Amino acid sequence: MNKFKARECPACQEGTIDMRNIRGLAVPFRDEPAVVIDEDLIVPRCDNCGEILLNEKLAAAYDAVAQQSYERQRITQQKEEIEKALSALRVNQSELETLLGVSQGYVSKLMRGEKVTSATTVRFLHVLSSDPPRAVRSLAEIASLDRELLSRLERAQPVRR
Amino acid sequence: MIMQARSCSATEAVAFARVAVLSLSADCFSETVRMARDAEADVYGKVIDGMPWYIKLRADGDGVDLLSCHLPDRDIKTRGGVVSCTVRPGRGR
Repeated sequence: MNKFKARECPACQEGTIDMRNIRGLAVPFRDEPAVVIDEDLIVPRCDNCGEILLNEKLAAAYDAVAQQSYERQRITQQKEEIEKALSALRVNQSELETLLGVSQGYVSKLMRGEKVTSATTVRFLHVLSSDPPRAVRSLAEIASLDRELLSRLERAQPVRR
Repeated sequence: MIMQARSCSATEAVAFARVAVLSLSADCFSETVRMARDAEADVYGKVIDGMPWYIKLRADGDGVDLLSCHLPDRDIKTRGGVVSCTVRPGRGR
């Protein structure tokens, strides 16, 4: 039974706060500014300003759904960015791991969706494949890279998006 | 707003809001503002973890409602001094 009583929004004082399904809504969650909620999630939300009111209990329910949506989106995103980087840089997974500065086997786990990486790694992958020569030159300034790998990467072509 | 500003989960945001409200002192008070239907709310400004926060509370018969808790879009003049809206982590107050 829905015990929530609709009331004036305390934030905008114009709309009404009532229990609403936010499936399909993009919300900030952890390191991601726009996670699209891809399951039913009913929370008190203003019909005017969109403010969401949460207490401890609702926040836990919100997190459970948002975390699932976040992980699904991130896994799709990380797979896409890895594939683009491998293609643009013409490197294998092991060489990509060297560039990312992650342990051996990590990229493979990301591809299989066994691990969920950070927004930072996804963004770095995106930059790597967007302009490989420039990104690699910058990277070489702070990371020791194999000369042969570096030379090959200098000739890599950006991915068309 | 809290989740966006602190890159955190909803549970962490609710916990932060609770800690933020409990940490307020008289020095953080800025002004009392009139809202719809003659209701009044108190505005506070405070730097927490190096970030400035605009906090608006309304007391009613059942307790205290947290109406706003977000980064300010302008400086907040409080009893204890000005909380600058440009303060960011690592820069202090």
